[in-house]
Amino acid sequence: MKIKDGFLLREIAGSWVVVPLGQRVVEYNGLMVLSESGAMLWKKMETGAEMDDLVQAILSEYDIDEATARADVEEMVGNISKRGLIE
Amino acid sequence: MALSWREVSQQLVANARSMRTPISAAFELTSRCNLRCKMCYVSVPVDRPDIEARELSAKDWITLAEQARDAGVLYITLTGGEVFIRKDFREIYEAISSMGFITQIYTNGTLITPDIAKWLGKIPPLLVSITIYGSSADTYDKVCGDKEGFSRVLKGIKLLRQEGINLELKTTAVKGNWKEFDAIGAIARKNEAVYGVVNYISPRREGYGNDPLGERLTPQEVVEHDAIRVAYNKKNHKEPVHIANDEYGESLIKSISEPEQNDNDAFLCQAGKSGFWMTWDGRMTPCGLMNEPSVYPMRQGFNVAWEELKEYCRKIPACLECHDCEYESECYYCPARLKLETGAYDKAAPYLCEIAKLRKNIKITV
Repeated sequence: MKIKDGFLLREIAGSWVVVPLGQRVVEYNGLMVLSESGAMLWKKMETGAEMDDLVQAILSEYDIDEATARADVEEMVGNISKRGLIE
Repeated sequence: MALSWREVSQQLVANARSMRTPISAAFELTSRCNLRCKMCYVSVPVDRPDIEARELSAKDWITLAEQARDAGVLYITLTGGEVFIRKDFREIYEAISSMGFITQIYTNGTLITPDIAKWLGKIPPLLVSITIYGSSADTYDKVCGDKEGFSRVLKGIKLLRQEGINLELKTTAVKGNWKEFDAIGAIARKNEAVYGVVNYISPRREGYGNDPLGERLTPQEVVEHDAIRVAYNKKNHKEPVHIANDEYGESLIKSISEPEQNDNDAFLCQAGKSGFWMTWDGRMTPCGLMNEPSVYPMRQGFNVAWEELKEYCRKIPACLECHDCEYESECYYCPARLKLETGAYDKAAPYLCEIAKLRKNIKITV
């Protein structure tokens, strides 16, 4: 899974915000806020990552079990995918 | 991720304001304009090569935008004068639109060509806010000194709409047009645009030759205009008319709460806390109405200039007389308006006092 080109993750006043660039505004005119873990996943997905890579990334940063991590990743990926931001 | 983007925006702005980090910027790309509105606080005729020569270059604006982005700015308003006067507007806008801002453009809409609309439709801003000065050619002649302006703005609206660009139409209530509020609203509804109104006309910013005081409504007319707006809102059940604020590019953000606000705090808005204004000649000020305090990011460096501006703003005294006034809840006072009206940041302005008093009394008697 890879995030489409033309979206930028920015840190704004202590929050992680995704904004569309240039022509991407036509399909996504607004902004999306990510949690700290969401931003970490986003950065990995900018260069492309599999579901298992993302789950491992969460497990290496947070003290949670694999099932919870996988559920969180699936929710995050689902949200981004629903908005059409994944290639 | 369940919040609407407007709720998210309000939260981000509140956070930035608490942190005293810049999140909103207005870039006044030029002071020149093709219309001749007497009530404008900044307008200069197009044909002023001496003024044009002093405007920041496209390269300067792009550099400033990069620095603003790096400092955390998310919301940017491109305004004038009339931005489409600049031959290099495309160069500036294209660069800014690829930097990661949420952008809005303020324009009078009279210079939009099919070519411009098509170009903008491919990289649209969040919003194009068009100021509309009347509902007929005669009114445009009277208010803006340009009879043809009316047909041109209608054409501009149509072209932008064809490209699917989000539009706000806002009117500036002055003697020559305030009774056309409903008719202008009908144009906004017909074009599925948000309708806004600027209902406070400030004295001109120092150094500009217009006559806003001669054109602005009397306090009595202002409250009559309020009543027209309230009646309009009742008739048209969609979104209520937005009270816009031309001199501060913050129409994206309708309310900000800051728990730590205290009585000595002069600014209740973003100015000098999380927002700033860049004038056409390169000065950073708290808002579009204020010539002072001003700092020079091109010379001083962006971060040094911002820190200095915040410090200047922190020292501006609050108007305690206004704060303690019985009509305070109905008054739209702020340091910029008080300074322009009275010459002091902390002195009550008779014009604003009278409006607030009438508003309060009307509420009591209704």
